[in-house]
Amino acid sequence: MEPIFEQFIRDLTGGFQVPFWAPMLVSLGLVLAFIALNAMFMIWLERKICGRIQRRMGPMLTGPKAWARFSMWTGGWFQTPCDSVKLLLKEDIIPAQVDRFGFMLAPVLVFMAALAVYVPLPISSTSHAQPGPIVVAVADLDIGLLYVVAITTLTILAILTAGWASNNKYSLLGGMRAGVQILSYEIPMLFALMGPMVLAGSLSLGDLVLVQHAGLFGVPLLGWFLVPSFLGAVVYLICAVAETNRPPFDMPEAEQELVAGFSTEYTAMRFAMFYLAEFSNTFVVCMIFTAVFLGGWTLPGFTPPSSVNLGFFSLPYFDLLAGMAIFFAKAYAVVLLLMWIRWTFPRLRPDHLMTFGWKFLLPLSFVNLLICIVLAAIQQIYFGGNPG
Amino acid sequence: MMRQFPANPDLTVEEFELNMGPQHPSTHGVLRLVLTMDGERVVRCKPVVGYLHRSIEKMAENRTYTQVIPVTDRLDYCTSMTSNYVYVMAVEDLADITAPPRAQYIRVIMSELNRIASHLLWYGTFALEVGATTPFIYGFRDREKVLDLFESTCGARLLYNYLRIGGVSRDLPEDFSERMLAFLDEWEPLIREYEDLLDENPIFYNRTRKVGFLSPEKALAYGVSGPNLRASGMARDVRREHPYAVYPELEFDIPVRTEGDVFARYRIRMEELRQSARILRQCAEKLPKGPYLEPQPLRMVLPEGETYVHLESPRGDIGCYLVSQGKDKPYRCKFRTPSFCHIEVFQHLVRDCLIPDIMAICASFDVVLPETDR
Repeated sequence: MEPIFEQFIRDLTGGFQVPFWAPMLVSLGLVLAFIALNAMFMIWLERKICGRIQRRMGPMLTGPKAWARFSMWTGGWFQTPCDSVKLLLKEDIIPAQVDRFGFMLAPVLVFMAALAVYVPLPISSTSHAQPGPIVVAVADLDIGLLYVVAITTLTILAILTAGWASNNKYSLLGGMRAGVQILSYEIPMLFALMGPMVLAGSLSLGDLVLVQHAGLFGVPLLGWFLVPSFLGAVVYLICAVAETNRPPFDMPEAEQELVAGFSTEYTAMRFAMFYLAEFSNTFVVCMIFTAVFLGGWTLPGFTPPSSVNLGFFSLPYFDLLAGMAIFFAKAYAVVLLLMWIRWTFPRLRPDHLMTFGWKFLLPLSFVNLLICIVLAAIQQIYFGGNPG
Repeated sequence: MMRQFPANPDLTVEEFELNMGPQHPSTHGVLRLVLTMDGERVVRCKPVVGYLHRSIEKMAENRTYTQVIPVTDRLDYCTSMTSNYVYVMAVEDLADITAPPRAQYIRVIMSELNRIASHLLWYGTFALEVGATTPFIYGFRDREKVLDLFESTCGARLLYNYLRIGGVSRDLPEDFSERMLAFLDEWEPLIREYEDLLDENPIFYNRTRKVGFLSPEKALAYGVSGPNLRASGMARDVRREHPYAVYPELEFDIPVRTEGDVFARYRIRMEELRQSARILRQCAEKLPKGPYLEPQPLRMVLPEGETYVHLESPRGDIGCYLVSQGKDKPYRCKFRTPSFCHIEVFQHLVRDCLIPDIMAICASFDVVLPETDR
């Protein structure tokens, strides 16, 4: 982010040197805005997809009537903004018997984790006025993948705190379920991600994408880790759904069983923060899946120019924009897959969940790791080193 | 009960009580379950009923025989027709009235349509209880079409007040048979769709197989009836055992399964949908012409005596015990409702289950609370 941001400002102002804190603040603002707007869009999309699967139209009444008349996909655009405003204006209730500190801390904690996880996610790259392609991320950490996994696990703390502090048996049960579930699925998830790590020989998400673009065995199409590490991709996706507590793994907030699980006692903005974090996390796992398994912002055999000349003016940073478009298109394809799963499957039972995670997914992720090690060895011996 | 934690004697583990309901998303109205839990495991379950008590039986004693009919609508609002029917049947039995043949057929048509509507409602809520949201909408979508048929017949979609002593309140609309057959043609293939949504799904299969096993002995001991009994391997159906109306003239099978678990109860209801459609097709074919009502005086007086009649509602064996002391109002009107027995036996099945199983088992019994509390 920093070099590109500085370059961008220099280009714009003609040599202005930005202070060191400016890129950080700008990234924070961008990420916050992105979380809010993207969650709103995702909630709208989820309701539309759900409606389509269930043979109804979803929200249609808020927003311009003319759009709604056109088709179901253009109606109800203002539904989620209206809902957000409603949640903002609602009374903030802290029940008398709760542990106030924990109760107030939990939503902040869960949102903090949801925010921090965006740091190493690479959304594009650019070689505009740069010596080589520079990855566009808040900060392309060398241990990006490890960081992401570690931060998402922080959510457990928040949910456990919420469940315990709420002083409600449903909340407690929901919190405990969430703790067990996230912890158990963390392990196969990490092992599933180790396949790509071995193949790429790097933990940086930016490197992972660049390696995939370079291809495996010199074949670009094989490069997407979805192919060599297919089992890993499946295991990761399942674990990711479980980690974000989405149905069919929504035991912690199973409505029919635990009312609303750990968020039973929460209202208004505190509840909205859980909700926002959940949708943000869902999108984050889709972004990670895109970066790790689907080749991130790249397409095989396609390198966009760093600027295009449209005749009357030249558009700089074209590769950045094209990369972002490709990246978000892929991420939203994964989002659609998750939504499809959500509205089709019944909920698992907690003990089946454990059996599935420990006895099926974990061995499967080991098999995947083994396959990846063999492939990486072949690459190393016959094609000379990691492609990156 | 307190016990020590094996690994660390300083720690003790204690069971806790969880008060599920009467306000809870999945206790079907107002059932209250007092659960003693050991973590996620149920140690004891005590159902508490009575939150929906409207003293329907007492109200019946202060109304004329005709005025009681709309009250029986509120017995089991998912299948008002059969609730109407059982009461009307008791009065007719006591007064020695026989409804005209056309009325008998109309009553059977309405009962079976109501069975379809009720089972579709059940299908949706049951799927919701095991955590699948989509089947709910599918069940409701087709239930609407049945309700449309009811609406065109008696003007109401939920509480019909359609049956009368000596017949039904009005004749079927002229094109009713065609519309009903059109609905059946369109809807019968859709049963396959409902099954596709759940049957082959491994998650659903694991959640319902071998869960909530009800042995035939226990089922009989607790007075379980209807689809729940037939799922435990007992081929008992009032329509077959004590035939009423025109059921002897109709061909239908009684689906039976021997597993006695949640999955069996689900499968039985899916089969019953097909059998109801079969009965309806025969009724449409055989529906005789003629009067639909043998009018009775508004304030009819019944001879002294008592009677007990029962019939097969979608939920099971619903009965009405009626005592007359030669006045224009019943002396005693007692309903025997299937859901009451089902709640009774339900508490024994959830022992040692997990919380999600409570929901699956409770939903699989198709418990309707207004019927339980009356």
